[in-house]
Amino acid sequence: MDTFNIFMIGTGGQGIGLLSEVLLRATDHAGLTVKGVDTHGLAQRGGIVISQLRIGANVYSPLIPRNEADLTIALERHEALRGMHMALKDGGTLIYYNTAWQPLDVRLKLSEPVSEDTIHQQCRNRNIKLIKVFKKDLKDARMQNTVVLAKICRYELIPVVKKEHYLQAMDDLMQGTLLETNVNLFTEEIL
Amino acid sequence: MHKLIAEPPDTKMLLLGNEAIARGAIEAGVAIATTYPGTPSSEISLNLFQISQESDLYFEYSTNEKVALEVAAAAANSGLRSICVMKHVGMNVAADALLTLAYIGVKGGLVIVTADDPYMFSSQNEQDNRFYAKLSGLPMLEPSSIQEAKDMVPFAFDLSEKLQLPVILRTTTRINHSTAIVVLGKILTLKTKDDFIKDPFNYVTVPAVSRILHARLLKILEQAENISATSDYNFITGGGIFGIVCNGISYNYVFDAVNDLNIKDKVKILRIGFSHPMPQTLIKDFLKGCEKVLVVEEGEPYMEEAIKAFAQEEGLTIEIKGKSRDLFSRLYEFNPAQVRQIIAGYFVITYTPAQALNLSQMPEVPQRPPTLCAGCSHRATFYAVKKAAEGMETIYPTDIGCYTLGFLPPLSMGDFLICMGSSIGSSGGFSKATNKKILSFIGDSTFFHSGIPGLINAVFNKHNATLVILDNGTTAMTGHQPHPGVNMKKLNLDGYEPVSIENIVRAVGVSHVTVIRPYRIKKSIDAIKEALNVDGVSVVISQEICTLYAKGLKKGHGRPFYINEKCKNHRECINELACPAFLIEDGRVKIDATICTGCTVCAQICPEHAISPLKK
Repeated sequence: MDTFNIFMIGTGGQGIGLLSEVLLRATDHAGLTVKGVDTHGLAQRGGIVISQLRIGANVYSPLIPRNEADLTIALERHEALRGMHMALKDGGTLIYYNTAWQPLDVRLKLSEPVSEDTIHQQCRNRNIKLIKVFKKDLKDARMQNTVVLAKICRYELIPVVKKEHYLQAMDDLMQGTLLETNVNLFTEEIL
Repeated sequence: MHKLIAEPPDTKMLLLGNEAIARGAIEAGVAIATTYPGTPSSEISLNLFQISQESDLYFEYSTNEKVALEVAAAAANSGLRSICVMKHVGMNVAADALLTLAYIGVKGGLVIVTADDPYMFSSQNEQDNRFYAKLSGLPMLEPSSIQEAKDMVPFAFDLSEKLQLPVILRTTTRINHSTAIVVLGKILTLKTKDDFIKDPFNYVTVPAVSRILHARLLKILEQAENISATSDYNFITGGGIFGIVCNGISYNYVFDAVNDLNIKDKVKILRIGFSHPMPQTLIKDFLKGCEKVLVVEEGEPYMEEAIKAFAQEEGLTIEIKGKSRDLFSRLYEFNPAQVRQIIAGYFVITYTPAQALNLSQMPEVPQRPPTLCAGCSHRATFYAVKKAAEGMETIYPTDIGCYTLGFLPPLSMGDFLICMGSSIGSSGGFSKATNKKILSFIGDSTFFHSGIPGLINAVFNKHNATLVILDNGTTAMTGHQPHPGVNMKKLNLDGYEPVSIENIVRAVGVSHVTVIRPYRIKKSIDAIKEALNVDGVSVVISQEICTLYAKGLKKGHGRPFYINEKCKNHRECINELACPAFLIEDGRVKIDATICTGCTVCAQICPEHAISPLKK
């Protein structure tokens, strides 16, 4: 496989950090060479959180060149559109969790929110494969990232990385009930 | 056991850049580690802090970077391997110690880590700290990969002991916060005690001594330059008539670009990893084989200026470029696509870049600036200050911390900020220069770091200002590190007595001091009003634990709130507080119960009493 670029975006507190770490480790367990880069610090306070992952033995830069992401993963609707603009190549894949954390300007009525239709339209215009994720009865919003992870696994969005690699990665990073609930949700959602 | 000390040598591990640097320090047998936390350096010290709790390593969160460096400098001059970690602007605070420490030198190895932040992801400026190496005359290393970030630390310790000088390890955010596979090395046993051999004519820097020491420093630098010229960290790859010189993270962008453009046979790359002193002879030889040279470095033209000077000495007239309007900018960080395009353009390589998206044709995405957390006590304090100062003409100098975000609308609490501690100092200036009411904000950790001298100055020089100390019991923004006012028992660490901010404030002579609990809005407003009426310096200490920190300590929050049927949609709550727990649904305000921490502030300000706690 040549280089494969994954761009992840969400808002502070949604769990992009953990999702990115799981993908990084899963890819490593699958035997691929992977590197990543994350946002830490001030930006995490309710701002935009971005992680980038690059898979491939011949790639040195941890940053994805502008608009060369093969896959964009977004945990929120506004960020899905932002992620498409910032990173995704035409003909790539967008997977996003269909929830909205209203940006301040939207709440103060200074900006228009991003709609599902807008994203749909943009994907059509740019020949982007769109996967919209939503789980109606999800009890804990902090587990939306795990639902997305399950869909990434189910639709095999990252070449070579399989269910057992994701599970192994989750096992590396979580323990106790947290691990158990997340693994249960993951296993349920890949069916 | 901590993961950074559990694995044997040759293990391959996925490590964050900052974890790799911490591991490098452990491999080098570091005995003393000091720091003041700051992004992007924070995880280096966080890991060393954790390791110190299960090993002989001595670690401290010092009150500021200058103190941190002084502690490490004395330990290193007592023969112990010491590391001092800070973000780039921390180096400014430490600079007074740094520049004369360079004269004195060290006995045991001392490595100073400076984490620079191009693009200012979490900083007030993007200064290029490579110039500190030049200014102080200290050797400097710059990693390009996570593996190097680790490997350079033990190398830096050896170099430091060989030259008897502190060595600077300079990183940038994309190294600190990248993750990649690292092969671990052997861990040296650390020496925990040694001795300080008195030698005042080498250690007490009065002018007569310093004149000798400065000459010695320059002599050691000649030796350092010879090591730099043959160092494996300065290497050449590829071959051809075009030359590229690069450093740090940029090396990766260059390497990928040369691959993508398929010009490996046309371009040779000189990667500079040992960047002070610059490897003069190596660079001169490199230039002689080139028809045209491009310097790829983020930040200032540090290498470019040196290289041009070397070329001049050799009488070379080849084109050497780096920073210019049509090539690289001194601003922000690079993107690999941009580096590829500039390389192709400069060396006239045929290449069709992918069509850039025309964002003006795309639907807009609303901005999402970082914001104070739901239930953040700073929001409550800011609201109370705003109400207390209603009708007054005010200036609000602010300081460095999460609360800096209070400057954003709708709170708009923050008018002036230059550096750590500047709130109090600048308050004095504004109070002397204007007729406005001066009300400034500083966090607890920042107060200890560099607020105290400013407060003493304000009292002694009779400035007229009110200082609000936002005491949330932790260094919140950088990840909840302790500071001298923190109750360490909450971190399961015994034997520490917290230093009282209130006692300090009273001791320096502030006569009007009040402590408020900001979630009690009305009482807080009254107390602030009273402080504003005081002639001279008054201090309000606003005490409430950081809500994110409380969550981490597993302290329960109050019950979340909801909007009841009395709501008349005034939106005072959302328009004045803008707490992230609010959302608009079908034109009505709602509270997201999963985010709401039950701080009760919005319920207290709602004119209709339309916000109530959810029943269990």
